[in-house]
Amino acid sequence: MKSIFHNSPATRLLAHRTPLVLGVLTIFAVSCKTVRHHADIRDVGRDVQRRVADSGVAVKLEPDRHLADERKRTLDEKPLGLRNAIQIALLNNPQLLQDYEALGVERAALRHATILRNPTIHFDILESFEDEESVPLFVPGVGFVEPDTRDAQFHFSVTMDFIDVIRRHEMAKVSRARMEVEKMRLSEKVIRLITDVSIAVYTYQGESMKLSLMQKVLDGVAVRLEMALEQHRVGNISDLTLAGHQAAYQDITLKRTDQQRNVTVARERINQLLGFWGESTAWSMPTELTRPGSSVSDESVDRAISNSLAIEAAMYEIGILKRELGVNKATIIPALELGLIREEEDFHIPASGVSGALEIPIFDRNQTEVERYTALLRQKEHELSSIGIHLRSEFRLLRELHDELIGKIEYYESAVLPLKSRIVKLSLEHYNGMFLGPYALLEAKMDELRARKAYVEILKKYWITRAELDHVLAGGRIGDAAMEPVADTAPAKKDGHGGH
Amino acid sequence: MEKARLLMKKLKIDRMRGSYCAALLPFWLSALLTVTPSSHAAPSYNPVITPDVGSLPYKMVDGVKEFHLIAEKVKREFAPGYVFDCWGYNGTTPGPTIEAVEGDRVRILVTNRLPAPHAVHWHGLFLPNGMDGVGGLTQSYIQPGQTFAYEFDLVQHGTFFYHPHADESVQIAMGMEGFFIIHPKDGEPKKIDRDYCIFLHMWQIPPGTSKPNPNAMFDFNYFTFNSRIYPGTSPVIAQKGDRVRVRFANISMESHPIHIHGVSFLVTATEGGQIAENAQHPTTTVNVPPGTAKVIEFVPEYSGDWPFHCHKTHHAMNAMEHNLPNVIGVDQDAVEQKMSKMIPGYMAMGTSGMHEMGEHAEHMPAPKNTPPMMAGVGPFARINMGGMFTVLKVRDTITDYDAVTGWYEHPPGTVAEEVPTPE
Repeated sequence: MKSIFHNSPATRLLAHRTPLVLGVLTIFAVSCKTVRHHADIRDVGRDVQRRVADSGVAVKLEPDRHLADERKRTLDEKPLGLRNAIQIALLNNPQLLQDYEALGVERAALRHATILRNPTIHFDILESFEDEESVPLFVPGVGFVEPDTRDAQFHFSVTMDFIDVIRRHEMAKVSRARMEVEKMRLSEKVIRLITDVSIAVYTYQGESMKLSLMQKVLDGVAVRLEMALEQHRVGNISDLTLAGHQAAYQDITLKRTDQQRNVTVARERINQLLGFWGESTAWSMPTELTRPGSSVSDESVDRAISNSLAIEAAMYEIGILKRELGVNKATIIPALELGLIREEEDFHIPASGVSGALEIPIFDRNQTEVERYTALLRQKEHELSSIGIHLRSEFRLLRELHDELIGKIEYYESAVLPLKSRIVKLSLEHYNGMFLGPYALLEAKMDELRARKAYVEILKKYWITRAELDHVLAGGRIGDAAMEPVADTAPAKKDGHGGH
Repeated sequence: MEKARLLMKKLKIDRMRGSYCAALLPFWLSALLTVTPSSHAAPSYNPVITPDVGSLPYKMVDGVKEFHLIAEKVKREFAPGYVFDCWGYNGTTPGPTIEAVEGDRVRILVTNRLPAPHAVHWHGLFLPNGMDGVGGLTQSYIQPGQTFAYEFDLVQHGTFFYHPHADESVQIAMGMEGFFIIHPKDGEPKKIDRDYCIFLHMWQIPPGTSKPNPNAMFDFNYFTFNSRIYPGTSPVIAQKGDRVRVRFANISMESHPIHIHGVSFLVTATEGGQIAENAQHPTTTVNVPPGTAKVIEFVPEYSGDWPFHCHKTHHAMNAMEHNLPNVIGVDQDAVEQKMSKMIPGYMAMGTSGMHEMGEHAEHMPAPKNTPPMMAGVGPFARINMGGMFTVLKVRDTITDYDAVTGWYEHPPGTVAEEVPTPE
């Protein structure tokens, strides 16, 4: 028995040039795919750059690892500040690199949507067994047939689902829309990363400032203890009083340790976001939070709405669902297969024809899919409405918090801190007149330091809020951290035993 | 009033010394009748000296000595530059001394210019119950703006005083008090050359403020002679051989043991009357408890500048905090360095006591309106005193008591000097 492909020209070509052809095709395919993938990511970069233009941050997404490493090395040579921290994170954040691949997955899905489904080849080769009882044979596409009594039979057919061909055009549009949604998601992640890096830097700076102030408080308590030890040594205070001073010192020491931990956590957060490890974690950064920036107008909420990636994505998804609903409504005939058939008997008498298969929509007229997509569409429309309402409300809250914090900062700068300093000055005057002892004078100084610590906490909270606000204005979603209730921002009470 | 004031000035009438020579000039008599503390003739008694205060004038109305006390807010300069917002009478605290003679009928008009009801009690006097001045019990309160008349005969003599009997804890704490001196109708059995009245009082006025805190029960920080603190107190001046009488009164919350250097004295009377001579005993310190008057008499025999002070040590100091940590003997060098880094201008104090406070006060900023704890510069060094402290200035001869202002000039060889320390 000979195969119909035996020694055909195509077989010979494939037999001799297969590796070469496959190699060329693979390189072409891979390079095309890579170029498109990088272009998608750079598209996202341009979109984000447009959205954060006001912040002055240069957004350069570089999916090419070689180029990214090159650029990162340049940035590493500069002192670490907020802007180059963001740029390093955009080049090196491990999560973002993972997220790039989601775009690749969607790009593949889009490509898949544009490729026609493969035709189906059916073939039967039958041989006669005269000695045996005749048994009906099942031939795909034909059904059961009586075995030919002749020596051999060959059936060959090629069929394609033509309904899929018709739907393919619509599904490609759906996939392109999904691709756009995925780009939006990536934009959102990039914006989130920028915001997260900003928050991490502000947190690190704020916590470092607080650590410095905490150290000064500890120094003050150490002086207090030193004085108490001297008093105790010469018999002026009891063991109990000294123990009180020692306990206060221990208390502040532990609090300073806690504050050191806060700085370490903030530092590690930066390492995570910037993808630092090994020697690169030995960075230093100025630890000074600057004064508040400009205020945000009431009208900015419109900008937040128009830029909102969540709203835009939801609108795209609604479009997708509408298209999918339309496709499903239009699909009256679920499946129609058409093909060519060739048949030979005893390898002498060939016959050709057309084959077809049609699913008859008697019971399943696709009505459940239509219902499902209708419901999904309504669900998404409600979701869109909800996103808009929540975004407006949360933006208002965030903006009010932002303005409140600016007010508090100004109040601290114009009233609270000058008053605390004045109290120290007046306390010194009272000390000079022997109306206050050295412990009370120190307590006034530490009270001033505690007020400064509270001020730094507000400043930090301001910058975090500001970063979230910029995030929303750029189109991102409001983070949970910004919506947390503000902790007591009044200067803290004294940390421990005052004594005298 | 202005005319009379000018006349008095012209006549150089010394109210504190009571030398009302105007009475010798009939020409001016009619003009002065209503404004001077004199009667038609020279007083039959030697007027008292109430340093830094003075006596209350009166006028004769139908044979009654009529005084006019005005209860009001006053500004009192405890020491030069330190002025406090007190309550008192006729512009001063203590109020002006009322002087009269046993047998006089007196009418005391009391006008209340305070923002609170008032009543005046005449402490130690025998008088009709309705004149005792106890608000609510013996009379109605004198409401702000009202004037009440107290009228009674003086049936005793001695050292008495007046003070509010309305919301006492506040009004007395604010400085309302004054002497009521009744001279004996038959004159003093022994001539008194110098007769001083000194009201003892104590206050709580927080550093940096100007108003006494009437809520205080403890921790008073100013202790005054006639509402003055050293170095604002006037000296007690006497010539060697003078018979000196000092009348103390006290309605503060604590007793005050008053000690005078250079003399030994007898306690001759209280607000309850004269002490029999055979019950008097010599001493150098007299304790004056709250609600009492103590009268002492002495004849100084030794010239000099002799301290005159309350012997409760903190009463002879000005304002300070009593809850300060005890740093006596504490080596503060290391602490001072660290503290001054944290608080520029910090200087350690108290390691060897408070001696340096007077000097520190001159160059270290301190709370406003708050005198240094210890002050006063003597002929040899800083005196390191305050509060209930003054000087009894005894001189061999005095022609003008007001002119005795300088320090005592010690005869050679009578001042302690440094000598080699014995091995």
